[in-house]
Amino acid sequence: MVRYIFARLLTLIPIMLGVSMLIFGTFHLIPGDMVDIMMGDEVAGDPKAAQELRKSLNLDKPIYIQYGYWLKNALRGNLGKSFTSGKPVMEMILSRLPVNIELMIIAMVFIIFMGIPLGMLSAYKQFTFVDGLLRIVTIMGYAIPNFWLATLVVLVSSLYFQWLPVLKYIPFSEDPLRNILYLLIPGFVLATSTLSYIVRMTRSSVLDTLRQDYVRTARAKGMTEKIVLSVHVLRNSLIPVVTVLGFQIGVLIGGLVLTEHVFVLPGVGRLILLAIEQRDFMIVTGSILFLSTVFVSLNLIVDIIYAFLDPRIRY
Amino acid sequence: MKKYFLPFIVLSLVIAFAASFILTSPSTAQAAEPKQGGWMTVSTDSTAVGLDPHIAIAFASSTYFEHCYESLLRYTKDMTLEPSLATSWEQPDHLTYIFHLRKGVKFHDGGDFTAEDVKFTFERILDPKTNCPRKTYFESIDKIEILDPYKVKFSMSQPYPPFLNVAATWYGSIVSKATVEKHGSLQSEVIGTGPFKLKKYEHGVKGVFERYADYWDKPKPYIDGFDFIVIKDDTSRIAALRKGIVDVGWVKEAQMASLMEKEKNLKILSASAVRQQRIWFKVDKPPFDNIKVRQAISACIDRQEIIDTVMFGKAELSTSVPTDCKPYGLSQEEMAKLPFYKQDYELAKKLLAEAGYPNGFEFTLITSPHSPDYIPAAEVLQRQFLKAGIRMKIEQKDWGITLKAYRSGQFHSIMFAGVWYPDPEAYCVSMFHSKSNANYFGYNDPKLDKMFDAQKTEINLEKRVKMWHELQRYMAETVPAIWPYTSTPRYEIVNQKVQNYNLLGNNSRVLLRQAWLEK
Repeated sequence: MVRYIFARLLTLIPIMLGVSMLIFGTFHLIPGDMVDIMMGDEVAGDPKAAQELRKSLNLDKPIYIQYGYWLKNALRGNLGKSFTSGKPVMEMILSRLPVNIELMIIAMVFIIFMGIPLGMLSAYKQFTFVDGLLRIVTIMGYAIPNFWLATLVVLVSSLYFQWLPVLKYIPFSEDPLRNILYLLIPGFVLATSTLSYIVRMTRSSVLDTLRQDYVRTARAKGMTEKIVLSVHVLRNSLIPVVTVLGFQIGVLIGGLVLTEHVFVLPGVGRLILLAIEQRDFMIVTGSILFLSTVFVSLNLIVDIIYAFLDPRIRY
Repeated sequence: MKKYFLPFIVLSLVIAFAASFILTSPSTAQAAEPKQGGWMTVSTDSTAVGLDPHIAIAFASSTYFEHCYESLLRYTKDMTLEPSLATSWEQPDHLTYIFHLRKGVKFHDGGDFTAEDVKFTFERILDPKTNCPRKTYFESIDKIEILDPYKVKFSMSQPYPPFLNVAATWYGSIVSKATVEKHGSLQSEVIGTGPFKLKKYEHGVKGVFERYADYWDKPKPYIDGFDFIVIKDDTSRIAALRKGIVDVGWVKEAQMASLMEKEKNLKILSASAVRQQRIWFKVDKPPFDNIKVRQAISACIDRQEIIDTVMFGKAELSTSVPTDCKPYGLSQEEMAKLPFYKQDYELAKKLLAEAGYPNGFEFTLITSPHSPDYIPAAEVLQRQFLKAGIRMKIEQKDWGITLKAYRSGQFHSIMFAGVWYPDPEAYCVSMFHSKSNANYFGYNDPKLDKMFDAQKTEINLEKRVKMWHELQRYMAETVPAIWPYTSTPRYEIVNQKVQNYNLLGNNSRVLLRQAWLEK
């Protein structure tokens, strides 16, 4: 077990190196000049001022030197200073991270505490109306792109259901209850596609488990359905579900950007979008590196949990 | 079915727009008393790129700091000038301005405003170390002398007619000498004399502006302050306006503005039509080096069709200077009579034949989806040109690349809209003067150069206006570029409870200083 964890931790190094090089290199391929955007919409600027700006931002040095400086600092936790606001990138990310963490937690709560029970319900009530309805709804939930759903919710909340708590962000320090209230709907929208997927996954996994011999045996032994459910079915069905959840974390992180954009939440996703538009190189590379690290780490944790759950998976 | 759909939509929108325009007239001169107090939420669609008024020139930045800084003069609702930090001014001769400054004004940090700050401000703007991108507007200033703590004398090296207009914009924001000497940079320190203090700034999220209790223009401002939040997504911004989460927000699209007219708790304010659409040509190579080709192109365009279909009727004709650049722009009636301003395919084909292109020619137009009207306008133009045998290819590029192509002269023709300028000069002189280094087209017309040089130093307003009328006619005739239409840059949508507020022609929201909330 320890060997397994250690081996997985080692793989972090080549993964992160590759990821960082990819991020850095890709951003340099984006066309358009940072200085142009900084000089504004009006094209009256003089080329001399632009050149000065370029030099002061280190944009005239060769790319591998820029990468070297950046990586060295990143390893120390210093992601550089934003071009457009002068603030340290790490500080900007950390100040906006709580929103994302809350959204992710809310989404995960929906997924786990709504998805899994619904999936089990669907499996137990196979061939009934409930099952059919759930299957249809989850297909829709999975197919609808989450930004479209988000825009739809925003539109509907402004035209018909004005009382829906969206489009405002109230900091946790100001009013914790309302803060959570206004994040519920965005969190649910974010969770929708993963939720649908988990319901279906759980359903099929439970269906499989129910057909297993040991379940038949347990029932034959005279155990109550409740015990059969909790002791045998639940634990064994959850194994593939946990795997899937691990993959879906990436989907969730990606979904954060669009959800934030439409619901106007001050999270890291919007920070990245803004930085891309303003060609704020430091913020973009810094925050994508940050998110990638988070993603890789979360995946690692899921893998380890998985190894605990299923003794068959070890190195 | 499809044939009738578009005209029907256009017609109903035009009718709705016209009807609502009559019903919601902007000049509601109510004798209501302004009420003190209340907090507003204002939304914008971009975030600041630095906050120093002499360095961060992007509109995204000025829309933040314009509430905190003031200049010697300021604009009224109708874009005329009135005193601000200067109570009066004299021009003893063509090269001298003497400003009498307002007494008793304090900066947000308690420091006194005196002539020292004025001299310091303009010297800072002109200092090459500051790298002020708007320096060129002030380069005619030769010397600034302090006559007494509240009197400043500006001596120009040559007559500079735009000076007062330019001094009224945020380009001439007066900064505190003490603050700059203490902090070095104003990119994050915002200390001005304006009606609001920047209490908190979260990059990309919001700014919190608080009422400055010691503001000189008492009892303004009436509101206690406002949150300035960034909502990039148009749908979300409009939804927030509808729900009352946001009190003030703008849209760029004429179509969206006309949709909002139906809302009972919102009203639409529009500013002067100073956002010109421009089609630029590279004139140092065929086919655009031939004036007849450019004239032919101008003659192919049905400007009204573009205004009606692309802009939903919310636009007007333009020459090199928009009508709303008062008092220099020609009137709409005069513009309609200019040469090549009416669609005339016979004339166009004749000119093309004379130029040696009897069967038309091909060219590429670069534009960007950056603004919602660019591509539709290009498509309408494409259709209009085709009837004369001119085949225009549209190349859609990212906004950053479009600007880059423009500045490096790597284009056949390129189209994008401009912004407000305080003086007619800025709309065309630097682009077409042969000696200008912002002339990316290779344009060289000695007669035009002479006309440009003459207006540059004409202090007498009447004479200068006449020169500009002549210039507009001459440029319509020689077609260095085409200005198919001009429109208002933004439509401000406000909640019904917001009173006495208007968006200025230069997209400035400084009139928030006089706004009050009807509770």
